[in-house]
Amino acid sequence: MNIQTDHLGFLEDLNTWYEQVAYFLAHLENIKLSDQHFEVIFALRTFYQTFDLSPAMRPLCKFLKAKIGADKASSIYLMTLFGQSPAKMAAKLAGLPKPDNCL
Amino acid sequence: MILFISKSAPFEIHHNKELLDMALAAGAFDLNCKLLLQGNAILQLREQHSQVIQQKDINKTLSALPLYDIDPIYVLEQDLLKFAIDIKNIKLSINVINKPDQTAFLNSASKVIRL
Repeated sequence: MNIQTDHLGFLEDLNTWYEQVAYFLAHLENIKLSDQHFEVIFALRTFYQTFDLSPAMRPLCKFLKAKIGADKASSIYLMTLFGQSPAKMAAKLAGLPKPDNCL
Repeated sequence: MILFISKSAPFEIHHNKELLDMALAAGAFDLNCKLLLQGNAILQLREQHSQVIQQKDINKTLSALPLYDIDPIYVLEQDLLKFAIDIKNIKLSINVINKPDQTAFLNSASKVIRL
């Protein structure tokens, strides 16, 4: 597997992403991926394909609320899955660029 | 209210991206923002063929604005007429400001950022 990332570990080319890549990137971050993770990751990829944009936390939560349900759209839930900066980490594992307005 | 005024045509991608990034960042922090497309910028509402010039589709990004609580998008009555745009054909939520209301609309902003 040949994976090109930038210096922050974000995938260089969105189109080279597949599930194994997510497992590999997650392994580097000490995260063990579950179905719950993938639910968010796939929603995030849909977000990017729809809007050409990597979302920050608040819009991501709003989007998840509509896509996978309110109980899975809270920052606390996302932090239990993806750690301290969920929008950034989930974007990384989903193979998306770093959210621009995620400070 | 912070008013972001875009006055750049769709292909002036750097101006548009800068302005939208500012607006999205402000929206992500729950600030009260509005976006006005003025003059040539109104053409951003039309579908773009951005893949041809390998650019991001500004129209796609505009459709994310409701998730940032920046909606509807404001446009000016005279610009719609000038560019013969019928808002019925536009999927985004649009608010047309009629000429007599435009000064009041601009005055209602505490800050204006125009790019």
